[in-house]
Amino acid sequence: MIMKKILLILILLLSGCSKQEYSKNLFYMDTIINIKLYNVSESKANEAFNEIEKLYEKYDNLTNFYNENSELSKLNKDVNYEMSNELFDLIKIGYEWSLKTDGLLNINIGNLTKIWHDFRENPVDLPNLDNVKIEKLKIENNKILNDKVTIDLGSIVKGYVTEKAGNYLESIGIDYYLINAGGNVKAGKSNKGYYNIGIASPINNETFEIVQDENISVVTSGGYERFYEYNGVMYHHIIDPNTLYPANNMKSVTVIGEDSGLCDILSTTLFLMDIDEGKEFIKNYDVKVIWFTNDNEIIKSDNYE
Amino acid sequence: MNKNDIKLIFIVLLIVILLFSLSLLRKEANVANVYYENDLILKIDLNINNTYEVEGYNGKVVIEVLNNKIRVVEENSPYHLCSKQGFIDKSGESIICLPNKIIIELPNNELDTEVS
Repeated sequence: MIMKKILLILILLLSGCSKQEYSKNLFYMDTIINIKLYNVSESKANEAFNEIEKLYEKYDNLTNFYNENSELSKLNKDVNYEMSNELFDLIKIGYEWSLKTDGLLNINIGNLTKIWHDFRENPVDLPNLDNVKIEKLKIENNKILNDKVTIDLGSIVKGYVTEKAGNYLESIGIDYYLINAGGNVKAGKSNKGYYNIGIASPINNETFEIVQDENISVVTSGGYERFYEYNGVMYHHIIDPNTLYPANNMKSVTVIGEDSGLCDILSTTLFLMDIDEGKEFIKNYDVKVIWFTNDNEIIKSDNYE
Repeated sequence: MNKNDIKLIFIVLLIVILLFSLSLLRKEANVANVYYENDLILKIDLNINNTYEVEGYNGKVVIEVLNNKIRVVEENSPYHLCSKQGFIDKSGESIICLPNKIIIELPNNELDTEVS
């Protein structure tokens, strides 16, 4: 009798320890995407992993700027290329944000981002930007009006697809999940009521802030791994279409909000704005923001508790 | 409450204490986990200075442990970003060799995930 009781309690204890958690890493969009699923059966987790992999793979094939077989590359070669609705939806989002930000968030600067990309690969001389022309995207009646485009969706696509991945999980009844797509975090519900989402310092990669929440997205622009140094000057991969140079208003900015797609776009936009301008700009959106300044100060938006 | 019940409570308490101390021990362990894609391929004790070789997507990846820190010293990739990253030693930090699909992780029990 007593042995049975002990056995029962032991089983209860051990089952409490081994809560079902499944984790998977995917390699798309030049980054690592980690997905954690909780409270699901193994078969359902595997089904979800497969579908999410298909999703990231599909959008990678649609939007990869450096893969000449991607739909985007075909469009960049020939603006009359008949693209899919999925790609056009993304381009329209970029266009709308270009209007909202006076062209500061401009997806039609692939010619410029490529120059800086090539410089990062082979940093011999600073690039000559004399002949670079920046054109805003023009779209009317669901048609691109420019004669030629060089669209780079790097500032949009990761957050957009990560939001889709989260929505897919919820649609099949998986509410407890955590996705980290190379610094784009989307968290579902948590068994303990919150996730501890660390924000790493852009100077030494140590955690300087922990966001404790569930059903939340956290996206950082800037940061430790995406800087590179040339002749003692730090350069970044986010390029300002007005100066044609990597933005240097701050070291990093983190946006916390509900929608991962919105957070991704806002973090890039805020990285291109000076901090005071950014503070005004985000008043229109239900997000919290942390800026890491060039002087290594941490500034939080007024609504940050 | 009879004698058996007291025995039961005692034994369960003992087990709980045992499990708890085991979990504490795990926190203190100074370990790096090395993954290839999704598979844990190596657990490295950071208390022992040593070098290790694992097989990445582009071939050999050489990992060095020195004075409780860990780094990648050799791998085959276009920019050698993960070699250039240097040593890491704090829980939650990671080195990701993307072309080689090798991930070195210092487990962090406090954080669920991190953005940088």
